[in-house]
Amino acid sequence: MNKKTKSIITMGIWQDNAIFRQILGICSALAVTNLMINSLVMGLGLIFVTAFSELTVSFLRQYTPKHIRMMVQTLIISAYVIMVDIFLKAFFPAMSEALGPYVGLIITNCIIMGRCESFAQKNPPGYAFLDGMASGAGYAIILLIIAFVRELLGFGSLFGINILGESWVSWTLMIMPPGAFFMLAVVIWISKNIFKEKSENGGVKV
Amino acid sequence: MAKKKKVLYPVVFMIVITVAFTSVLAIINEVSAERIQQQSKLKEQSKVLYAFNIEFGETGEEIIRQYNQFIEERKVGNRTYYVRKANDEITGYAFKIEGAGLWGSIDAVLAFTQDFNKLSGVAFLNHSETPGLGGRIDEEWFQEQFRDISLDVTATDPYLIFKPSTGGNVDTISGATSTSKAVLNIFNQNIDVILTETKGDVLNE
Repeated sequence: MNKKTKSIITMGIWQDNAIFRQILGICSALAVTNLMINSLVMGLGLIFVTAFSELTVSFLRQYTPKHIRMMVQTLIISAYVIMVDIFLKAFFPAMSEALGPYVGLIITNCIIMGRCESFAQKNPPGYAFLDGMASGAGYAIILLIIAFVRELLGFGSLFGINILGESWVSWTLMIMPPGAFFMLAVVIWISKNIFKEKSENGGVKV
Repeated sequence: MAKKKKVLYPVVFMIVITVAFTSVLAIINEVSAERIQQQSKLKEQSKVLYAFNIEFGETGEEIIRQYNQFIEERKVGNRTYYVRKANDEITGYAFKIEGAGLWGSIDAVLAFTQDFNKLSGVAFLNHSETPGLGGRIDEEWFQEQFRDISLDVTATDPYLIFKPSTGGNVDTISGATSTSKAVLNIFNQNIDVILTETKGDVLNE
């Protein structure tokens, strides 16, 4: 694993994490995190779309006229999103229903557009694909962390399996939208504190 | 970026790439269309079986087999309805209904006994209520409450009433009052239409 590969992975998952560092993709992060399974499927969908969109954008980057590149990127991203949507409808109809419009809305997820524009336009396909995987994984991990707390407290279960027993009184607040806001704020708060220490030691520049 | 200043190139490039991606998607769509239709058909069939309180297996094949054995689809006007049969004898009727929930429309199946004196059961097909709150309408305990409820078309009270009101026969979902009310409204209205209008058409067939 060379230095660049390593740096792409750590940047995507941790130092430049889309959610708590760049505050991108928040809308879907708030919407689907009431259940672990929803978050997992959404995360996998996003990893797929980001990775392949970046790969395609990177392959076409030398042939794409600069002033129409955004149009091309949107076209590529939407094509992959529709593929995910059709796949879910055909093989996991229950999942497709649970996620509702949010699968289609991956198109508007700023993470993908942002990575295509800032990374895939300038880097070779291999790295672009890896960057897409890393950014998507960073997003998925945070979604799963938020969903872990929300589902555990809100339903007393994880992945639909009851953990806390029958006597557990569910926190309705956690299932409702405010629960997502609180959890997301806590995640960002914690990460801010971690990065503050690092930058004082001359680590990451904010 | 050699040709980026020309006008023709970007246009041709965009057309080529659009055609390429659209064709790929069209092919994928074509290949999966049948499967998607089967999936939604299967879901509907399992809900009809559930509303009639007929036990069915987990796999698609079993559901289809059970469905074909017990259910027959018929039409009255433009409306499809489901007839439950046991040894060529009709033992019940079911109808697909639709109405406004709290956040979006709710589709459900209502099943009746053959004399329309009792509700055999209900099943929700689609809804967009809040998961964990109103979304709990499709949980088993809520749907099971609607089994074998007597319907009296001559009574002045609504068919379905929430407990603990007088004559109450079903529980609300705590924390989801609006959804519960909406569901009961949809059911009461549709039961009324079915008992006063559709029933006659169906029995005269």
